[in-house]
Amino acid sequence: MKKRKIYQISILLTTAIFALGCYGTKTVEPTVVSEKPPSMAVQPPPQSFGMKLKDLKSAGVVTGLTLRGNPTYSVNEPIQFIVDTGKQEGYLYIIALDNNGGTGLLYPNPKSPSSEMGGRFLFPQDFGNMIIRASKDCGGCAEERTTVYALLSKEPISDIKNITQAQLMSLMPKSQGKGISMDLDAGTASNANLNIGQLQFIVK
Amino acid sequence: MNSVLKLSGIALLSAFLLGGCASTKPKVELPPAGREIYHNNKGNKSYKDVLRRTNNMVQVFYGEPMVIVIDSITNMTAEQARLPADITDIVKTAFNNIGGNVRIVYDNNSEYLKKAKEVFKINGSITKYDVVYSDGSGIDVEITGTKNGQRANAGGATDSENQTVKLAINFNPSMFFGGDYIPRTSTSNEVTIEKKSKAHEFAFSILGSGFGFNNSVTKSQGVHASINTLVEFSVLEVLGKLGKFPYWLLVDGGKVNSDIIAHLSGTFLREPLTRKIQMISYLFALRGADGVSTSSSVMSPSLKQAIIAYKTARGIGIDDTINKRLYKSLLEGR
Repeated sequence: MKKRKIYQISILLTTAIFALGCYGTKTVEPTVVSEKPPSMAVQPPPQSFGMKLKDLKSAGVVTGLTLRGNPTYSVNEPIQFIVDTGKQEGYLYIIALDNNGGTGLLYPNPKSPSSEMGGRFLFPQDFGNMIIRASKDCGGCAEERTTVYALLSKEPISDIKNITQAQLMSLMPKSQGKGISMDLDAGTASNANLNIGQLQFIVK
Repeated sequence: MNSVLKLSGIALLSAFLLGGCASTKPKVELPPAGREIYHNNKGNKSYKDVLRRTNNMVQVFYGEPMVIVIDSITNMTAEQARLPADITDIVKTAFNNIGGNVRIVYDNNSEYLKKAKEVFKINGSITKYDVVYSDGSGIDVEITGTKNGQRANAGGATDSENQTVKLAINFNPSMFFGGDYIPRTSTSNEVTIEKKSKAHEFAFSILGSGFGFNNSVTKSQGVHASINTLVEFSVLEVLGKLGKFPYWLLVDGGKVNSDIIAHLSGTFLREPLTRKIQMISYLFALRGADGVSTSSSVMSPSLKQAIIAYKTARGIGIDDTINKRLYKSLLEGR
């Protein structure tokens, strides 16, 4: 009986020690600094990154770009002209076509990346630090005609570097073969995915 | 039987007490003081440089020095005596510390007034100033007049008690010529500064129209330094709203301003390519992109790589084409 009492008392003492020890070490209410909530990373939907040259014809082409510049240049004279997209916006490409049917991509180029544009720009000043000079490929001829095309696409054209004369011609309405300035029906341009304009000049 | 019941009761009591002990909240350690605001990663977002970096941003986005006239900061609170006396000087100093792209004009005959395309006038006011002391028992006592025979002010902390200072500053800009207020450019920010009696450290948080360091505790050198920070952030915000540049990118906790995003996105495509590259390059440099300059208007290999990596990671392209979507994403700080 006495042992049982001692046993009970010892249990009571142990409990009291636990309890007191517990309260003794209880910390003052701490200051809690909440972290910024983790930002929820939302996975963007898959995107299509542009179109191909073969899709241009079906893109809905209008001649809605205006290009203005000098009608004649001397050899080695810096070329400059205005590209005006009006109210249209899109990815701009500028392509030169020589007398032999060769094409050259003036913009974009390694120094001047492709860009979404809309408005009135002076080429090449507004497109980077580059100078483009007039030249003739024909040896000894009095003059040579060069045509510059501007394409404004609502989507990037991934293989624009490979554009050919035939593809360019196929985009131009037959009645729009000549002239140095083209101000065309802007009313229909808004629904098209591709705008095109051209500028011709003579190099003497 | 009795002893079995007694033992069961003791065991239950012990379990209850021990259970109560176990349910005590765990000790939560403060994060390293100032980790939010002193965060100084490659993006260089240390708030101490915020004014200097504002100068670059004005150059890139506004294109010319902003011309500012600062009116005296008025006290709209009832606590005339307790307001920091030098608050107008703090504001003027903050504007003046930005650099050459923000011109502070004091003389009405200044050439800047004649040449600038627009001149902004900053009308400022203090709309709240409270100093609250609390003793060790946790009972808050607000001081309404003087304390210990001395006038309480922003720097008047005592070592024996905790102190909380709340100060709110508003800027309401107008056009210097004509005097019209400029819509949606006003700012209203408030700093709460806490000083612990024994820690000899100050922590502050800033909440308001342009910033939200919500629940973040930041370390500073004192009440005055904390108020300086509030003023600097408010100056940054009001300049950003006037100059329409993405001021929120210069500090952690900056709130995106949808008006400015809409304006910048709307005009971006009409910018020459060189300007587009300059702005994109600046935004990548601000993010800490390797080798990208804050002022270059040339497409460098580093910038090209940064654009491709950024677009690819966010599913908005796989090339270096510069478009409105890339620009908007950068402005939003994504």
